[in-house]
Order: sequence, then structure tokens, then C-alpha cells
Amino acid sequence: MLCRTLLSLVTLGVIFQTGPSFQQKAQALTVTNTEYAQKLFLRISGVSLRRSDPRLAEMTAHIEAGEFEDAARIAMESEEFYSVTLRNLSAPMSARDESPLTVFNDFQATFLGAVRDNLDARTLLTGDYRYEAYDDLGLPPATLDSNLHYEELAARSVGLKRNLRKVSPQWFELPVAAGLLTSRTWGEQHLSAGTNRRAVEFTFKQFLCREMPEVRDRGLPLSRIRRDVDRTPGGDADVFNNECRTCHAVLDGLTGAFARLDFKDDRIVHTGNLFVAAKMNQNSHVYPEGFRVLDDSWVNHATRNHNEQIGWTGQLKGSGPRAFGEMVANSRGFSQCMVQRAFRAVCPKQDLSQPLLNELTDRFESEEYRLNDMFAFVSSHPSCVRRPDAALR
Amino acid sequence: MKKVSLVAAAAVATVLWGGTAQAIVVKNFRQIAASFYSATGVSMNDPDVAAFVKKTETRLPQVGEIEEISSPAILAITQLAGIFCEKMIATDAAIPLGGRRHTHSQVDFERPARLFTREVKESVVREYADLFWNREVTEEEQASLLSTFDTVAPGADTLRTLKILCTTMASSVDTYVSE
Repeated sequence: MLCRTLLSLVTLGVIFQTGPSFQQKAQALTVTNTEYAQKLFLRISGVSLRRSDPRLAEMTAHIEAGEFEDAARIAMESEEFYSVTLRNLSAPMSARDESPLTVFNDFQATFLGAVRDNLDARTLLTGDYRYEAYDDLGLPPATLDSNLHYEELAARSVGLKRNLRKVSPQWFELPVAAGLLTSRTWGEQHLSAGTNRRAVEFTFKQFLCREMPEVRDRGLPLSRIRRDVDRTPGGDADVFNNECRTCHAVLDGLTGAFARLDFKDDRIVHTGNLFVAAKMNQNSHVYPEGFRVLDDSWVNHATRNHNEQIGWTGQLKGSGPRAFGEMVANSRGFSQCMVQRAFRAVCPKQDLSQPLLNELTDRFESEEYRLNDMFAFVSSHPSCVRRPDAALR
Repeated sequence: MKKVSLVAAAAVATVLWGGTAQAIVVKNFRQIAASFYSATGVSMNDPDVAAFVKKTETRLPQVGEIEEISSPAILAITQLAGIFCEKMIATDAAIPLGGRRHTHSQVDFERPARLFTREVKESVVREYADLFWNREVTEEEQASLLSTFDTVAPGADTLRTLKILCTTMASSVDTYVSE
């Protein structure tokens, strides 16, 4: 009986699809200022703005004055911009499986805080800070060996926007800091077990928006490919040269950045400045003549051919995760990736052409990579939400 | 039961894929839950609601693609709508007439739903439409919803009748299809 009632409701609910508004919206030739304001708010926050909400009048007034970014900023003040839209964006970035359901963690908290405080996006990969909740919430402390602080903060539903504070140094226990790359979450996801190559792979994926198959390149130097990589897989050196080398030359060249880091006993550990993590030299019997990792130096070999488009600037070799983060963050690819992610978050299904991406990226870089400002101008761009008809303004 | 489920899914498909399907954006689980919280005013710290939201989130759209709208997703949305509606109605029922926010402004919860005047029923429908659809209800919708109300009211108490009406409107496609 209950099942029948429920399914009857479903059918009725489906039939009451949207009345005239859904079809009309799809085919509307004109958009009023109020409709634009409502659409903008929905895009930015993920929830509708009720007609009686005073913010609608405020946004509409800005729109009438042609102040579209100011209208967007009103929507960005909502808690939902943080707890819904930015979490939708950052949750998958923070996990190896890229699940939108990923629990709240220090990576996401830091991303949200950095947007709220309009920080330079580059500090997401270089900064010595993180975000956590205020002490008066009575949460378990944020520590290197537990995510409980962040899980409980999200579970309390007290509002992420107003309850995050910036703390520095990032972790007292670690002598290195590179923003999200040394967050506990990043360590848990990409420095646990394995060979630390995942940390490089996912840096490219999450912050340059490039998968390894897009980055691989032929004929790269062999010098940094480690000893655990078979040079004649299946007895065939061509397989190594045409396949394995194309990725490993890039990965192994850069993995040194994380050589002194590991994730063990539920926490990131640093080996100290004399040693590297044992995993960096495991399976050395496979090809003993390969590269032996002795320190945290790294070299970027993803610089030629199609990888020129990443737009590297500055040093292409260095030591440690911070210098690595700096190299990535100062690339054109990073700026483009951040803009792309913001655009997809607030402008779903809208076309992001290369000229538009260039335009938005140019502005992002010229305005000091400020994250909050970026969301404001991306969301209010005419390509994101169709602007009101001029005659109606 | 299976037949009704198929009819529901077919109706959604017709509505959604028949039109401008490529531009359709569906709300994801966070947006759906946030929309219900925002519309109904139910506290995010209500343990029953929070637990139910957590329980249903894997059945709801994850990223907001139209392909994620499935029978389980629609059922989950309906169940979520039901619990939010129940909480909202219970909260308003405990507030004296005249002191309520924008819903149930004319409802006398002591009175059986079958005795509601047409004016009261229409005001409830208008208020729910404003809450969940953010627009005026059309004449056709009004007529259908009042018919639903009149069908349910004789056999159900006031709270249950309102819950069924509320759930019907809150779980409609309009609330989880963004554009």
C-alpha cells in the first residue's frame, strides 16, 4: 500500500513537471533582470532564490545598473556557495577515486577558505597554511593523523563559510609545506603505499587538468627513470621505449619532489633531510642500473612538443614539493585549469571555447590569481548565464 | 508497481529527452538537499532529516547529468521530499495561525482537511508552488492538485493530506531540473 502510494506520488510529481516554466525557459527569447538574477543565484549557490528574498531585489538593482559581478558577489555570500558549489568542485579533486561523495577534509576546507578570503590561487600549491574550524565549536582538533575534525565540522552543519579560519604553519610536524600538496588528504590519497608517482600524476590531473596519456612524450631522457621499471618488459625493449618510457620519464623526473614524504600510520611523515622514503628505491633489482633516488631533487621533462602548451615559466628543476608546486602554479596550464573548473562548476553545459578560456585566463592572471574574484567574473560572464535583454534593463 | 514505475520513468524521459535534453542540467545530491533545506526551513541539525539525507545521497544524481535520473533517483527524491514536507508541516502545525512564515498561512490544523474551503486549499497550493517551484501555479496545475487533495482528504488526517500534497509538488521535475 505504501509502495503504491509512493509510486503514485512519483508519477504525479513527474506529471507536474514544470508547467509552463520549464518549456518556456528553454525557448525564451528574452530574459528579464529578475530572471537573470534568479538564474545567476541558482548557478552560483545551487539553490533557488525565492521571490520574497531581499537579495533578489539587491541583485536585480545591480543588474539594472549593469553591475553583473556585484550581483554575482551577493550570491557568492550565500552559505550554499561554499557548502554546495565549492564542495561539489573540491570534493572530487581531493580523492583518488574523484567521488563527489568524498567526506569533508583539510583539502576541501583549505580550498573553500582560500576562495572565501580571495587568496592568490597559486598559494594552493605553495602556501604554508591550511583552514580548520574555530576552537569554540568544540570539535576534535585537526591533526596530521585524523580527518575527524573535518568530518565532524561538516556533520554539524554549522556553516562552512563563517566557521573556517586560516592557520599557519600548515603542520608543525612537517618541515615542508606546499599547500594542498602537503595536506593530510593529499598524503592519504597519493602518498600512501605505492611509489609516490601518484602524487605527480594527480598533480597534473587536478591542477593542470591533464591526464598522463596527454602528457606522455617520446624520446625523453632516461636518466631519472627509477630502478623498479623494467627496461625489457616481456623481453621487448621496444615496449619500454615506446610505452613505458613516455610516461616514466615525466613521472620519475618529478617524483623526487615527494621523495622525503610518505603516508604511514595514518599520517604524512617526513624522512628528514638526510634520507628518502624507502619506497622510492623499492624493487631496485628490476633494473639496478636505473636511477637511484638520493634526495628530493626533481626535473621536469614534460616541456617539449604538445607539453609546450602547458606554458611553463620559471625553474624547470628544483628540490622538494614547494618548488614543484611553484613550478606548476606559475604555469599557464594551472591558470587555465582553475578557470575551467570554476566555469564547469557555475556554468554547467555552457560552451567553453578556447578564445573564451583564454580571455578568462588572461583576466585571472592579470588580477593576481584571486580566487573569489575569479568566480565572480566567470559566473557573471555573458557566456555563463544569458544576460537580460538590453531593452528590458 | 513495476508498471507505475515504468510509467514514471517514461514520463520523465518524454519530458526531458523530448525537449532540449542537451542543455538540461539536473541538480546533484548536494543541491537537492540544500534546496529542500532552503525551501522548507527545516534545520540542518534535525537528526532524522540529516540521517535520511545521508542515506539517500548515493541514489541521487552525483554530478548532475540527465543520465543519472533513474527510477531509484526519482524514488529517493520523492522520499526526501516526503520527510522534509513532514517536518515542515509539523513545525507549522505547532505555530498558531498568524504566526507562521510563508506556508500554511490560512490552514487551521485542528480542522479536518476534507472541510477546508476552496480558498484555503488554493492558498496551500499557491504557497507550495512558490516554495518549491518559485513561480505561480497555473490554472491546470491548480485544478489537478485540488483534485488530488480532494481525493486524499476524506481518507486521511490533515497532516497526512498536506504531506501528500506537499510531497507531490516538492518532488516534481521542476525542483531537481535546474534548466
